[in-house]
Amino acid sequence: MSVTLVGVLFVSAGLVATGVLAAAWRRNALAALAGVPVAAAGAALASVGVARFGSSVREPAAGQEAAIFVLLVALGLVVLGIAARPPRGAPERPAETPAVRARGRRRR
Amino acid sequence: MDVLTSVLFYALAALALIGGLGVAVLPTGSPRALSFLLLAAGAAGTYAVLDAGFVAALALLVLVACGLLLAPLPARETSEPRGGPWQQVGALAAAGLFALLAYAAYRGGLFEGTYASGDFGIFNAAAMGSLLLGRDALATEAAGALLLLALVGGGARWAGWAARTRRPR
Repeated sequence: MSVTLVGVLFVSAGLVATGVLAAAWRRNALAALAGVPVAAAGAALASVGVARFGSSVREPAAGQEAAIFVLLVALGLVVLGIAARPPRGAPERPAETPAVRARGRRRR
Repeated sequence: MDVLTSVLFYALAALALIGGLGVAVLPTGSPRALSFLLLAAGAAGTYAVLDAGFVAALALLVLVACGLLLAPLPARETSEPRGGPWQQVGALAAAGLFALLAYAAYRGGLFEGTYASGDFGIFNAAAMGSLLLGRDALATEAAGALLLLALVGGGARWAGWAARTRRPR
């Protein structure tokens, strides 16, 4: 048993899909934000794996640099998302899904 | 890679995947914080096994910070609305995405490159610094601007909250 690029990409695919699952599973927008760092960790793993197993001679560490950017952008998105949430007194609105929109139209 | 390193890699990858699933489905509070911790440890460990020590340290920092910020949110008294069929569709879409990515990883025409990890060392901060601050300085500045904007937004929100909750003397 040896680690190959295919194995690394399998694991990273699992992490990205788990992040998408977290975003889809949570109905609250703030809770769904937790999927961002999970998916970013998966994308960063893919970049690191490519740098480790399939990089070119010209820029061998470029994949690691891409991983750093992905992680930093994920952190920025999380902090921005938390900063943009409604104040504590205001009622938190659920995610605007087609089902919620249809329910609102029926009430009107 | 030798067998021991490979076993370590897959064990850490399993840890990261379990943590990611916990983040996705467990309730807020301690279970979610523990899941973030597992994810951070697993992901940082896999990066370190792949000779990316600098990325591992950064991932540990970023994922622990995300866990501290996101684990208690939303508050327990804010009940999440019950999911309908769209939640199931989203879960199926995530499964489909995984199948697609796994197929691309398995059938893609990947080539074996060369990586001289000995040239950089495991914690390759010098190589990362020359790339981040030299060749791709503009992208680094953009990421820094995003982080600065996020910190200013978070600070302004915290200042507003502190002003609202301050007791009159």
